[in-house]
Amino acid sequence: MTASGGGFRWDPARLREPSPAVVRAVLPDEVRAFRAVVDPAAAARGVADSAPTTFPARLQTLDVPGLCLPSAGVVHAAQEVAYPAGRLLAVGERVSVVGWLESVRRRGRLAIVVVVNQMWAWREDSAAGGAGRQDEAPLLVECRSTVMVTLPEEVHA
Amino acid sequence: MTPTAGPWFGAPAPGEELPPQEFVLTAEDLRRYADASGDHNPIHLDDRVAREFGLKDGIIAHGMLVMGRLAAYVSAAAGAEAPASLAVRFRAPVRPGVAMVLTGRVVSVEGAQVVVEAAVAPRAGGAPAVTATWVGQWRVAAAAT
Repeated sequence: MTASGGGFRWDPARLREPSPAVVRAVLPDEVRAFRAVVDPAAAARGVADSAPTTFPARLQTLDVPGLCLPSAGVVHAAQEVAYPAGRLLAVGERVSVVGWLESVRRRGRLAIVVVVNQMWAWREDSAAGGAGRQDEAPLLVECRSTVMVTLPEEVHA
Repeated sequence: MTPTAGPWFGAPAPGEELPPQEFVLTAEDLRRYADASGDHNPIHLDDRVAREFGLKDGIIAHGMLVMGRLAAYVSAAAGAEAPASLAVRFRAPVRPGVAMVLTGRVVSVEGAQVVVEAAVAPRAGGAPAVTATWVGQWRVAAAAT
């Protein structure tokens, strides 16, 4: 789902395209143990019009425009992060990122959105595209994000 | 159980509590995190914009930054590089300049795998802003006592 003209445009297929990225930096110890930051500018092709920012924060800033904004009425947010490879990412490490909408349930202005993001170890064939190519590379991080939001009036309309 | 002070040695037992740890995020922390993450949403950086969006007290910390603090807190106690999994709920914003306290409690131990419930709450009291379940290997060596 990407922003389009101030509204919402659902495009889960596009989000499935792998996005090569480079681990750009990590902040000091307080976040080192949790996350790495990827550089979307290094991506051969992005997963959305606006640059994806971080993994797994893409949910907040890309997949659900306005989600961070109180005006959108965020009621609840939860994330489940798994580290199947059992290791941290290194600065400068090349990775491949994919993400997709798992489900969207809407009841009036209320929406419960589930987004899955994955970060895979880089392989040379990652650039060839196709999420299926990622199967051969170790899955480093998987994040399932669930948010409940009250959509803005214009979206509801 | 009374929280211990300093490094924690030895295998934990259910019910044991991690030593609380205080922290205060600053606006500069948020700017640095925005630069590193690329998340320049102004509700994290600009008080005026944040207020326009209904945050009457101004900017709030990135959820991922707070989540990272929490994960690192438990991982450090466990001597683990990273958790095997982490489930987090964001219940309320964390604002810069507000003293927060990290707490954790061991809820189960199976071999080296430990489950810890952790939270970030205002030092002044009140409901946690973030709660989490940390699952991982406990790698801190047994105490040499």
